[in-house]
This record gives sequence, C-alpha cells and structure tokens, in this order.
Amino acid sequence: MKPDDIKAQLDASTLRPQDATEAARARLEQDGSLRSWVEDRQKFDEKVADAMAGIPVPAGAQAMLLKAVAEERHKHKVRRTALFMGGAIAVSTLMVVLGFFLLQSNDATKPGHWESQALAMVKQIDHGQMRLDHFSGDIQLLKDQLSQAGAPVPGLLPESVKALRSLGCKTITLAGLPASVICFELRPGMEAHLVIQEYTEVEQVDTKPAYRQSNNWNLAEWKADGRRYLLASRASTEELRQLFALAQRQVNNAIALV
Amino acid sequence: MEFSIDQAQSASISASSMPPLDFDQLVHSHYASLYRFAFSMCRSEQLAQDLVQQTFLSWARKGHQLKDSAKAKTWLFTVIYREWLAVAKKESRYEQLSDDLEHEETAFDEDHDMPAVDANALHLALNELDATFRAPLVLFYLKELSYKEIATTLDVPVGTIMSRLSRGKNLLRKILLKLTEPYDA
Repeated sequence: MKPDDIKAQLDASTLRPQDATEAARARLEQDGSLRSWVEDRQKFDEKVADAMAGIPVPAGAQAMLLKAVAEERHKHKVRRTALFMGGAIAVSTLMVVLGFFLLQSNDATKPGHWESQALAMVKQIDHGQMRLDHFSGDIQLLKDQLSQAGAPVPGLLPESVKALRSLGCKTITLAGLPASVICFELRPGMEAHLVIQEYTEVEQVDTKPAYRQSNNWNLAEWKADGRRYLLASRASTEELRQLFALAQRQVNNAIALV
Repeated sequence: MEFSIDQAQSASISASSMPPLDFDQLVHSHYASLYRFAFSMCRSEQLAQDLVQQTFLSWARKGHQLKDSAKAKTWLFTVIYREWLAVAKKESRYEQLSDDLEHEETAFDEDHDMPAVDANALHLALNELDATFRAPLVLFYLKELSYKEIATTLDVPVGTIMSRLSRGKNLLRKILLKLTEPYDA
C-alpha cells in the first residue's frame, strides 16, 4: 500500500480508528510523523464532530413522524383490507359466473351432453370396465333393487322392452344426479342398455323416440312419465325402431288414458 | 420518490440472524443523525424534516425487504441522500459534480491552525462547501458510517470518498479559520 493511500485511509478513519486496515494501523505505530499528523487531524475532526452533534433537532419531530407513519400504516391496512375484500368479492363473483357457465355446460337437460355422458357409462358397462350391481333375468326384481337404492326406475316400460330378457342393473350418476342402467338381451349375443334418469324440466315431453347414431352405437332417446330414457345398442337403428313402434303406441295409449 | 432496492442495496440483502428491527427503536436511534444530514444538505429545517419523514415512510413500506438488519443504517442514509438529490434536482439547487474535482489527487494539508467551531459556525462553513464534499463530510462527522459505508451510501468508489474526505476537511478547516478569525477593521 502506498504511503498516500495509508494516509488517506487513516484520515478517513480518525473518528472510527477501527475502520482502518491493520496495515494502516501498523504503519501508524511505526511512523512518528504520520502519527503526529493523524493526531492533529483527529483533534480537528473531533471538534467538528462535536459541533455537528450540537446541530439542534426540532423538538417533537420524532413524535410527529411516528404519528405520520402510524397513520400511513393504518391507511395501508385499510387499503389492504379493502383490496382484499374487493378481491374476495371479485373472485366470488367470478366463481359464481364460472359455476353458472359450468353448470350450463354440464346441464343434464342438454340432449347432446346428457346423451354422451350416458353413452360413456354404457360403453364402460359394455366393455366390462364397470360391473353391474345386480344380475337378474327378472325385470321386476331389478326395479325393486333400483328402487331400494334410491335410483330412478322405469315407469311405463314398453311391453316390447319388458318382453326382453333382463341381464342386470346398475346405479350411476349423470351430471350429478342419480341414474339407472338396466341391461337387456335384445337377441342372443346382442345387448341393449337402458339408461333412466328423473326429468324435472318443464318443457314439452318428447315421448317419441329420437334415433341417433354414435360411432358403432345406435341410440333411441325419449322422455316419458317424468323420466328421460336412452336405449343404447350395437343393434341396427331399424331393429330399435321396430322395438319402439310398439312402445310408442303403448305410451300414447297411456297418455290418452290419463 | 419511489425508492427501489437496487444494486447498492442488493449487497446488503442477505440472510442474517439479526432480529427484526423495531420501527420505533429505529426512529429513536437514527432520527437525529438523519435530520442533521438532511439539514446540512438542504439547509432547511422543514425540508429536512420532510426528507426524514419520507425516508422512514420508505422504511415502513419497504424496509422488510432488507433481510440484514445490520444494514438498516446504511439503507436509511442511502434513501435520504437520494430523496435529497431528487428534491435538489427539482429545485435546480443541486450542484453538479465537477470533473476537475473528481480527478484531482488527494492533497494532504499541513495546516496546524485549529479553528474554533460550534454548530452555527459549522453550519455556515458547510454552506460554503460544494455538495460533492459536503455529503461525505457530514456523514463522516456524524460518525455513524465507516468510510466504506459512506462510499456505498453515496454510490461512489471508496478511493473517491477518501479523497473527498481529505480535501473536504482541508477546505472546511480553511473556511472555519476564515469565519472565526478576528474581525480586522
């Protein structure tokens, strides 16, 4: 370290000698003229530092500051609370709106959506991915089982359908509501799955089956006696139409009797 | 003025086992020094109070970001210096730094005359000094910061600070001698 650097460092540390490096302090110990120079500078610096400490500080300034800061903090807290409340309200509103749209999108009353959900369940049963709850060739026994489980049971079931041999049943949930599936044997090796769900929407009851096709599945969907029905089978649409020709007549007759 | 913890502060932001600082205690410990620094720089009691208040409000808002509470003092002085710079620039009262001052070699004065000095004389003498010297000198005489911390606070190299302190002291001594010499009719 150059002598001038040491001098500058010692000069910058006269009021806080501990801030000088060890090398600078060591040089100070060894060099008498340097020590004398530093002592003179130190004496002057201490006088100025004393004068500096004598600069008056306005009375009550600290108290005023603490009050101002306390007020600022209070305002900040209020703002933060308001912001939080505003945020919470905004989030709640958003959730309600999103929930509404979600419900709308999941609305079981929407034919396409309900139908696809019901068909997805049927496919799982058909593929053996979902096991039936009860197995019986007696349709009445299956209806009793479903009824005990609180699941919807078919009301006025067409004679043509009733004539089919039942295989089993299962309770499922569609769009958050209980539903039932009864599996029939349409003919040897060909099954038909009937999905039933309570239907409370106030609109014209579509008692006439609507036929649709979805991939290899043929569907017949109708509404009667407060229920929505979907019969899904790999059998041809024509086969389903024949099955329901009789059923439609029976339903119409039943409505006419009421 | 919005203060952001920048490079100068980032070095101070580090994990520390120091306990969190009590705000009232911080005010109690540093109010007077900060006020004296602000007053020496702006020469106005009211403005000095405002600068100190602004500094502590900054601490109240952002001080928690400073993890090393040992650096709180440097943080406060840095903020108040920048607050003053902003105000001074707005009021066009900020003395621009001269290149000549920046590059001048450190000069060690051999003047042994010891002037009388009190708060009033010091205030007058500091007023005659360029802000380039005034800021480090006031921080030096407050005895709160080391010369390295002064360099950090004013955002200048340590060597420059040592040079300014040395030259500033010489100038201050001369001004004080001039101010306190007997009036010669």
